[in-house]
Amino acid sequence: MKIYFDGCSFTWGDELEDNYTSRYSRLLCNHFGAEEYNIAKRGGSNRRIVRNILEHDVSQYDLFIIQMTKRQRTEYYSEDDNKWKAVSHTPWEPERSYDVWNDYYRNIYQDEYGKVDELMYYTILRNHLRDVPHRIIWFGNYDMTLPVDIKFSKGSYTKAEKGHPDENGHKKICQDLLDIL
Amino acid sequence: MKIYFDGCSFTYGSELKDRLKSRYSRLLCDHFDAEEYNIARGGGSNRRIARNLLEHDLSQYDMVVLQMTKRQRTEYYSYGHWQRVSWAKVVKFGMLSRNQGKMYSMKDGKVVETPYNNRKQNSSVFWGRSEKNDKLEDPKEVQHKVDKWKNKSLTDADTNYKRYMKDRDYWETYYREIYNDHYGRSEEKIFYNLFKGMLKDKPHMILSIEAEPEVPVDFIIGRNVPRVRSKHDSHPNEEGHQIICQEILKNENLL
Repeated sequence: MKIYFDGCSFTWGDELEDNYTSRYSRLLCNHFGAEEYNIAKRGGSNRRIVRNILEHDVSQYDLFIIQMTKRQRTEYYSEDDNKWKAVSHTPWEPERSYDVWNDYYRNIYQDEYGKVDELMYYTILRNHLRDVPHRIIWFGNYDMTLPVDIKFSKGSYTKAEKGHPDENGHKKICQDLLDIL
Repeated sequence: MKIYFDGCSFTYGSELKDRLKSRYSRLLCDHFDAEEYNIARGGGSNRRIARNLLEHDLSQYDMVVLQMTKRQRTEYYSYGHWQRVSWAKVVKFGMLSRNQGKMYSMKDGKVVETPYNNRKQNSSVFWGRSEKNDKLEDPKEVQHKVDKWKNKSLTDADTNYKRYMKDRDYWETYYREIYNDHYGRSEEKIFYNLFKGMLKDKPHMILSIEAEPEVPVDFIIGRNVPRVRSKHDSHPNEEGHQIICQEILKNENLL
């Protein structure tokens, strides 16, 4: 059995002492005796999640756990480094395009835009995974109206200093997933 | 029977003498004796097509025809409206700064700033490819165009104009520093998958005006489709629309 996970820092296991052994994806795979395939990335966007899933052969996995993230995030392709770069509301990697993205969030991005993005990515995920077992979960701090399978809003799990789930938080997330699987 | 159409100026019927009668959507609806629902707009992006699709109850339509457009285009939400962003607009924006010696060209699918004196050496430069653009080198002509466009687009609010200038700066920077063909192709793939997923149980056809789309569309509206002979020389003429209609009718999965 092989389980595909994608998401942002929450699924990557940020702020855990040993994220590879304590994050919920590992705990869930331990429960099922399954192989863990976790490609979550800190600062990852819903666009990245969709791009990733379109690049994978979904028939190779027995279950998909997709963790949607904040709708404000996006990504771009850097030709300098030949790789995709994450863009979040508060960029933490000072780089060439830093000012451009500040300008984007100040003058261009609006929540109306983000809501459409969120709906588009959600719709693609549901349609693309319609023939394979999957669950879509969400972490965030705003009112999420899309019918994801579990919404983890602030306060629904114990957290570490910067707000990510701590060890107990990941255990709870794993248990909540088991309850709906 | 009701058929849903969306796309850009090609589906809108730009440059046709009587677009409401001659565009391919009308011809197809005439063929099926169907009601035409065409919400295409000039400068429309694939994102706009996707947003429209999500906002509609597709059960109300018997068939859907989507015409994907240039992958570089996008849109954003500003002052209660969705604003279309296209290459053409950026070129227009560029007119404002052209007298300062700035101009842009396309290289490997990305906009790059090109020194003005290199213009004739670069065959893919956007400006200067037509007499119309050559005339714009005259500063008076440039100012006239800018004023005309300003009056048309910015109503009576000076604050809107300032806002627009900020937006314009952003989109210029976006096309120069952020956007590239790799991103555009990825975007094209994402939208295509959205369309296919949403239309899986509905007779549909997806067209594209991209010469080499990243995705397997049903028909490419290429240069072999006759175009209007005009200064733009870009949109299908009456015969071109008939050809597009015939191509759609060849699709056996539509009915």
